[in-house]
Amino acid sequence: MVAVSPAQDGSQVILDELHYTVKSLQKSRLITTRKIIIYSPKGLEHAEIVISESRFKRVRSIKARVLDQNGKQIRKVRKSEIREIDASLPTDLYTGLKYYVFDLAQATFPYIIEYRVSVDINSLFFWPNWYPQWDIPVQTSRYRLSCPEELGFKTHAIGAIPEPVLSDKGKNLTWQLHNVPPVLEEYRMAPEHVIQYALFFASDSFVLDGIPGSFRKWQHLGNWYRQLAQDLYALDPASLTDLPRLDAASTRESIQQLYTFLQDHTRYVAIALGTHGWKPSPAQLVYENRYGDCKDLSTLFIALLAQHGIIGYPALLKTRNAGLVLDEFPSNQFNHVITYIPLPSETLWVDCTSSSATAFDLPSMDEGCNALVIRDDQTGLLSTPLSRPDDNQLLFSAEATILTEGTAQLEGTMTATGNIAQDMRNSLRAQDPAGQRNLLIQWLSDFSPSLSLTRMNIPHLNSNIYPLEIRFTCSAENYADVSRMRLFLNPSFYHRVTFEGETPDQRHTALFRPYALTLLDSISYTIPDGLTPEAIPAAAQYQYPFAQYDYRMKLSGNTVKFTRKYQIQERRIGLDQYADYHRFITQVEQKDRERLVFVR
Amino acid sequence: MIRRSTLCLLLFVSQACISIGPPSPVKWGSVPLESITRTHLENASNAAASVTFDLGEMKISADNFEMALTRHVRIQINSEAGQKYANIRIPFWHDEKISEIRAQTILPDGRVIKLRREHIYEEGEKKGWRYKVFAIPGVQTNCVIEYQYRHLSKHLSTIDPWFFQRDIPTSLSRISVEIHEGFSYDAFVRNSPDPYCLPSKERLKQPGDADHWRYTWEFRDLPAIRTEPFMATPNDYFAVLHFQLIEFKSTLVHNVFARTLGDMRNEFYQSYKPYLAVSRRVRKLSQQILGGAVSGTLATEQLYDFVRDSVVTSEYDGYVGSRIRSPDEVIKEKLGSRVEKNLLLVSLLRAAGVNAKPVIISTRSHGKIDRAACRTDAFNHVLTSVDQGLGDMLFLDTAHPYCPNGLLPPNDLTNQGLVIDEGRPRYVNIPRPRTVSMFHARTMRAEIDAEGRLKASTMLRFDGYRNLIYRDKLADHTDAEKFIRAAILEDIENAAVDTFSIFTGDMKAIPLTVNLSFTVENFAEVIGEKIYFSPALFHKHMANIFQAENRSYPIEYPFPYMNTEEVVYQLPENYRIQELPKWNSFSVDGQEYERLIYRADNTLHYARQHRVKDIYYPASNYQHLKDFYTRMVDSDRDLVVLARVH
Repeated sequence: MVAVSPAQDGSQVILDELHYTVKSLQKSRLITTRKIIIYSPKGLEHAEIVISESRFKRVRSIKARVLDQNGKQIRKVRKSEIREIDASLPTDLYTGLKYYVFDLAQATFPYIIEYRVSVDINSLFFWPNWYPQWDIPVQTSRYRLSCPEELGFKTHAIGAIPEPVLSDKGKNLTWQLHNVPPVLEEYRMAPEHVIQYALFFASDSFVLDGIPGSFRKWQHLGNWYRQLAQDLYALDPASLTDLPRLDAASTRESIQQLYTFLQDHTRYVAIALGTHGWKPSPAQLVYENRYGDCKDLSTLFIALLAQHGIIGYPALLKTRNAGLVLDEFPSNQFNHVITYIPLPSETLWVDCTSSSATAFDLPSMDEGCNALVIRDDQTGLLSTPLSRPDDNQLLFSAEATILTEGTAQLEGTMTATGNIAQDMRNSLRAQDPAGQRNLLIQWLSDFSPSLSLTRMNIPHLNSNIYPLEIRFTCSAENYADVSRMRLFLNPSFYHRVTFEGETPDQRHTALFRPYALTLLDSISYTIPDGLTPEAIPAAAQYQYPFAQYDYRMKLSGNTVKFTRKYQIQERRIGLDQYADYHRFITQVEQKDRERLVFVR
Repeated sequence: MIRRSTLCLLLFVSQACISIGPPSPVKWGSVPLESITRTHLENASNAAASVTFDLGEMKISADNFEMALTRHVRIQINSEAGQKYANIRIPFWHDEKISEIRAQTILPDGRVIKLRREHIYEEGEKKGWRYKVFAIPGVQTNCVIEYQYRHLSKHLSTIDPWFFQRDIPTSLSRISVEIHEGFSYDAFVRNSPDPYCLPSKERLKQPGDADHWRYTWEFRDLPAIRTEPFMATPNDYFAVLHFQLIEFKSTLVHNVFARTLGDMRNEFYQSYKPYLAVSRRVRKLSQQILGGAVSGTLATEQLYDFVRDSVVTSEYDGYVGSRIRSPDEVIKEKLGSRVEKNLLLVSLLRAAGVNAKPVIISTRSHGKIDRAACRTDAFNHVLTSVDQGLGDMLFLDTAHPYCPNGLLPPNDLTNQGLVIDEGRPRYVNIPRPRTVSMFHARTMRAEIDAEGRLKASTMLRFDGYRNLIYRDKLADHTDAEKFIRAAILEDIENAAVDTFSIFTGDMKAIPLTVNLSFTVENFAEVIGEKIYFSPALFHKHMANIFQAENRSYPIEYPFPYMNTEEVVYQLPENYRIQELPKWNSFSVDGQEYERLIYRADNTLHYARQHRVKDIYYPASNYQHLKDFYTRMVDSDRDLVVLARVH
């Protein structure tokens, strides 16, 4: 009988057990046994079970049943209730994955669901990790491992994972945890903190689709990838009829021209079928198809570089939004491939899936990552560069006339660079011209109830090597608040900060932002005649190790010159800095809300 | 607007439409190169992509009792954003067949890049919808893609509709339908660009064969249909051709399917009849729930509450057909789709002597029903109806866990439904609920101090649909305080929760009530000897919800509602009111706004109300509505000015 507290809501895991038995490098079985108590309708999301299958992980059996809170069986799941669905993730065109889905929802609470799934895994490349923590409390989580004595493997623990208990002369190991709290979720949590309890496994050796490999060292993994991708870089020069003749003055420029060609002539399509989740398609095929995923496009790019005597290498990486590579634990931790190009005076990192980056700047999720560069002579982890705040800049500059009824007429320019330009370009290019107008109106309308766009011009929208410049003329009705005696004007027309997230006393983890940035405003306002200033916000400067803010106002006759600089210098704010970060943001938020007040 | 045609061997259609004679064949791959960089439509020149043509040739034959559709599509890709149209996904039911797929890209220099067979994939449900999936190779900006396939189906009573329009402009969309001897179909064109258009008709005769006919619909220069905010569904606006099988006649058999409303109703009635019978199990359960001689309104309430709360809502699996579980199965498993639950309720009500019937509807997201079109695929859901006498009907849907008796979930708020019974076939109007969906915030004490800090105690009440929506939000949050911060205080910057209590009541119809006290640092701006603050707190209009320059489609709200707020501000010591926004009231057709503000001793009384009475606004009213919201934002931002008294 399960003790149920009247106050319990949702659901709770009673038992989550993984029993992994390794017979050989290409033969292993995972039996998952789970028992979950559902207390209320809120917990029903855990009654829907989804089991995935691939060419490497075959489901042998599924058994499931529903019990009452005393453990008595209410019903057993029939085979006909299990839906089989071949489906792909939204980001992929096709993956060849299959899902078994069944629903153990009941209307009488509390009740218990119990299921057991047996899966054959034909490569130790996919050694299942242990994740004892869920989004609900876990009473007991257990990982049992049975393997030959001679099998070499290693583990890496996240959180308070106990040492295993050995049995059967060391052939069986059991890790167990009790009373695991639900996973902690916080606003903009640093990705490396998302997993709070885990035990990762990596086999010394594995075989994937007949190709042997090893996780002993990064060099070994690199060798395996190199073997997987060998002979895939060949391109038939006769077929490269639309490759432009390069007229670059330098190798750097050549790389940019080839990258532009790749961006203009290929598209991202992910077909991760079988080994093609790891093995790239041949460069010739990618060229002919003009599509591929990250590793396909990288392979093609390296092949194109080679045609021009430039050497590039694939670099496996874990994008920053997925966490950090554990460099002390060589294993399959990667989810992306970019290209590494060592030049005499610099190193370039190029993401071939981005349509808005240049060859000299990376998308933000590739920055600050440990990448496994697959080189002939040496394979190892290298860090991708981090952009600086001035690399990612948005300048809003405008001349504004405020009319007596509060309408603001503006003529101005938004100029963006780096990651900000990439993000804005991606959004604009996804629209047709009418959609682009509406998007700009949306961007400019955050603080204006009614904005009419008279003119819009984006001269370099499709040319990534130039900053993104949006020139506009608009009229923002009722931008300034007008009362009988006063006119209230907030000079921060475009950029205003709002604090979001936990207060310092509630926060437990570091905060992560996509990139460091600088937001600048320079606006000159002409105020209607007949008004005198009643209240003018004072200048303010806030300086912290990770951020700065500079707010200034200058009055001259009926002109107000407003400048503002908001800069975040670090993308990761540690917990020890969080209180200061909170203070900084709330100071800025308060300042951004201030208004000039003019009285008649 | 629905234009109806009847396709059969025997009827004669007098007027021809756009083309006469057989459709002109379009040669695969034959694309004038200059057209690749030139567009066909003036309004397509700015589109990311445009459909050059979409041609379908359909044959319905009694030889194999099969529908065969050959489709040939050609699309011009104009920009990077248009490349996604080269990722193709062809849906089909698991027992249908998609074959003879070919696809290619034609580049501006004339090169052709073909799709390889091994790059065509298939996925989907084993016994459900499946998809042929492929990426057309060689795509770049300024190229033409084309693809072709054949679709075979034995489902002759449910032929997929033909959409003439998409979310990109279409130069030409044409469907030809060859009906062989024996079959009769009605064809309905919805949202026809030309309301007077009839299909062209051509007699096809093979030696020794009886006559059969080819009907062709063709529309040119169709604009894209784009989703806009406050749109029920873009499905309401696509030009689309629907088919409805009327009858099949041969020397051996004559089956009538759905020629008239009565036929269609009968077909549904026969499908649902087994589910409406009162079994012993249903009767027993009904008696158990009602526990005695309860009838009428009380019986309806109790049975409704039981089905809503005691049967878990499982995934939707269609609204008619063999996949629907019987009431007995639903009772046994305590699990049912929203349709199965409502059919169970009908059965339970009948067991209790209540005059209950199923009513089939088309939900808001599925699209409006047009009574002029008699077609079975117009519907997608079943409600329970209760005849309350004197022509008054009550409509019920047990799917939503927080929907009280008397209210329908917002997606069910469609204008009409078809009653399924043995009487006169009829549509019934489904009235809008009379309950006012209201959000009311009453802050009887809001103290502002000289540093600009606000401390307030508020009671919030959610009625009608607001009750349903906020109960949903509460259920979504693991933590009640997170609910308060995210759903209640979201509009008040920097509000920190001091205390709160939430009253949900025993019955779902009871309005959700939240008592809350909170603090906002820097609520008011203190500059020198002046304090400035905006008195609006909850549901404050910070930005205009209508920002787009223009509007193509009507604006539709799911239900009428009202937001009201009352606040009594306690002003800081030694400050007087120097400027107060004046009373403000304005309206637009269908909506009203009023703001009242006055002083009393050292308090400031503020009241505000926004009422949405009408739920439908034609696109021509867009600018007025936009202006109305502009004024509301402006009004909600108005400031009170306090000055220090010496």
